[in-house]
Amino acid sequence: MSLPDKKGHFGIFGGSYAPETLRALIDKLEKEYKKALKDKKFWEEYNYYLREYAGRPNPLYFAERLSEKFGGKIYLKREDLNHTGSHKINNTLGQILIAKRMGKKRIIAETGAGQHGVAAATVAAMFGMKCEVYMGEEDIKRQALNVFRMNILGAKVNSVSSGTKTLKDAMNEAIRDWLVNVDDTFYLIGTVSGFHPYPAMVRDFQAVIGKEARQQILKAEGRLPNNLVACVGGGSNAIGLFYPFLNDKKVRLFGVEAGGLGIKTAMHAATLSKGSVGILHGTKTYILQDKKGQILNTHSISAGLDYPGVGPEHSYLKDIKRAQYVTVTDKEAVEGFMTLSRLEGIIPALESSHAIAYLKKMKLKKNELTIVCLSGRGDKDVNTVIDYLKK
Amino acid sequence: MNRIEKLEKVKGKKLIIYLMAGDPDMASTQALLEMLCTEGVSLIEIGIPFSDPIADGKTIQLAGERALKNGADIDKTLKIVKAVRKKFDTPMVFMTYYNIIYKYGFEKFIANSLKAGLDGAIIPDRPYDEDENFGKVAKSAGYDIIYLTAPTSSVERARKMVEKTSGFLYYILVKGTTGVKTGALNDYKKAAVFKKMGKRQVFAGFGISKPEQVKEVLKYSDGVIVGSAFVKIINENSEDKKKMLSKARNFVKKFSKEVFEYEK
Ligand SMILES: Cc1ncc(COP(=O)(O)O)c(C=O)c1O
Repeated sequence: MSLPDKKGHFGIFGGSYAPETLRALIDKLEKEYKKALKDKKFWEEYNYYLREYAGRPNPLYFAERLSEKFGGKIYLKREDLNHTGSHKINNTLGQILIAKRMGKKRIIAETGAGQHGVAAATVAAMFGMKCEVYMGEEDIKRQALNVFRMNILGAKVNSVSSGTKTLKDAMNEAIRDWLVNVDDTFYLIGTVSGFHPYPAMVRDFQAVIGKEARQQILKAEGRLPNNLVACVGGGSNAIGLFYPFLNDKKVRLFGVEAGGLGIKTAMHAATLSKGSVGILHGTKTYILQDKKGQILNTHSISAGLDYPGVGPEHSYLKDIKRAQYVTVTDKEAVEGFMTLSRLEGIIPALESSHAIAYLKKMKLKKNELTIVCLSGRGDKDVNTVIDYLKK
Repeated sequence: MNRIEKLEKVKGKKLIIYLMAGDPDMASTQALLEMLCTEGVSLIEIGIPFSDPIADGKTIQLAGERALKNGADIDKTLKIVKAVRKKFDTPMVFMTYYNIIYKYGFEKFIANSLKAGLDGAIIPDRPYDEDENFGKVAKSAGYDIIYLTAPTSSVERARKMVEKTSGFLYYILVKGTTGVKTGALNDYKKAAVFKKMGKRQVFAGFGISKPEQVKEVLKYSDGVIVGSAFVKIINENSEDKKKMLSKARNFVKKFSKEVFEYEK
C-alpha cells in the first residue's frame, strides 16, 4: 500500500488546504522530505539519534499482572521510556533533521499536553535552534510541569487565549506565526495532521514504534499479535504502531478516543466516533463540527487528546474498516491510570491510560496476544488525577 | 457578462472594502452594505465567520467571534445580500473558510449565492488544486471563485491562478495574516508581475490601513482591498449605530479620494 498519493490524499481524505503564502514553503518541505526518505545518510543520522539520544529501541514489555486481570497476553510498547517521556521525540528528531537540511534556524510548535512542546524544545536545544511553543491557556494550567520543562530547555511558551484555549487554538496560532515568519521558520507539527506532507512525514517518523514492536513480538512469541491498541488524539502514536502492521490483515487495530464525560454528551473529543467529514488545519478529515461547519468545543481529562480533528489516514482506515475507533471516558481513563500504576508499577500518561482502559472492554481470550502503545509516562498528570479523585 | 467582469471594463483604479457579516449585528451589516454601495466602492467582500480563521489577525478574529455570537451564517447573509441587490449593482463576494462552504454543500452554496445575487467567493484555505470539482461546478454556473496569490507564490503557481481565477486575482501584500501593522508592505511590487501574466485585474490587500498607503500600492495593482482597518472603525463605534455609519462613511470617503482620483 502506498498512500498518500502525490498530493497527500488518503482516499478522499488529506491533501493540502493551505493558505497560498505557505504553499511555496510547504512544497519545499515536501521535496526535502522526499529526498530524505531516499537518502541512506539521513536515516543513519536519524537512527543514530534515536539510539544514542532517545534511547531506542525501547522494550516491548510483557505485562503479566495486567494480562491476568484482562486476559490473554498483553505487551506494552514502552514509549514512556524514551528520552522526554513519550513517543513525541521520534517525530521531533526526524523533523529537526529536515529543518536543519532546509537551513532553518527557528522552530515553532503547538502543544496540548506539552509532551510535543517538550520534545520540540529538547531537540531545538540540542541543535542550537530558537524555539517557540504555542499552548492554550487552559492547557498551560493543567500541564504546568511541562511548561516549566520547556522554559528550562530555553523555549518560549506563548499562551493562546483565543477560541477554546486548547490544542486546536494553539495550532491556529502556530499557523499564523508561520504565515508571518515563513522565510526563516520551520513548523514542527506534533501529530499526523496538518497540510501534506505532515501526516505522511510524521507517520514515517513514528513508524519506528510498530517496526520495533513487530520484530519484538515475533521474537518473544513467534507470531503476530491479534490486537494493537493505541490512544488517538491527532493519531501519531496510533499510526506509528499500526502502520507496519497494515498489510497483516489479521491483526486487529483499535484506536481509542477520548470519550470525556460520555459520547452521548457534548463533552468529549471522539472525533472519529462522532464527527463528520470536513476541513481543519489544512487537511480533509473527520472533525467535530456543528451543522454549519463551525468547529465544536471538545473535552477530555487528557490535554493531548482534546482535539476536534484527527489525522486523515485514520479517517481513511476507519472508512475502509481496516481499523476500529472506540472511546473511553475520563472516569475509565483514570481507572486505567490507577490500574497500570498498581499492577505494574508504571504510571502512564492520561492519554495512554485511555488505551489501557480499553483492555477491560475487549474481553480478551486466553490465547489472544495484544500490544498496547504506552505512548507516555504520567508524571505530568499526577495533579490532574489527584484533583479528579478528590471530587 | 457578470458584475465583476463588468467592473473590469470600468476605467480607473478600484476600491474594495471588507466587512464581517453580523458584526455588530445583521441589521447593521445591511446598513453598512448599502452605505458602501451608495459611496460607490467598486466591490464588497463580506466575511462569513468561522471558528478557526487561520489567515486572520486579531481584528478580524474578534469580529468573527462577535459575529458567531450573533448567529451570522451563510443563509442569513445571503438574505441581506438579496435585499441589497434589489437596490444596487455593486459586485459582492463572500470571503470565508472552506469548511463552512463544504459543510453547506458547494453545489447548493453556488446555486443559492447566484439566486441571492452574490457574485463569487474568496476562500483562503482552498487552493485551486484541492477539490477541483468545486472549481468546475462554479465555472459552469458562472460563479466567480477568486484565488489569492502571495509574495511567496512560485511563478508556476501564479500562472495557474491567473488562468483559473475568475473576476480578479487577489494579491496578498504581506507575509502574514490580515491586519498586520502598517509599514510591512514590503512585497507589493510583485503584484505587477502577476498583472503582466494575464489580462486579469489584480487587487491587492492585507495590511492596508491608511489612505497614504494607497498611492504606492496602486502603482503596481488595479485596486486596493481594505479590511481590518474598516472592521476596526465599525467595532470602535458600534454602541451608537448612527455614529458608526457616519464614521464608516468618512473612512470610505478618504480612501475613495485616493483611489478614484489616482493619477500616475
Ligand atoms: C503521551 C501522549 N500520548 C498520546 C498523545 C496524543 O497524540 P497522538 O494521537 O498524536 O499520539 C499525546 C499528545 O500530547 C501524548 O502526550
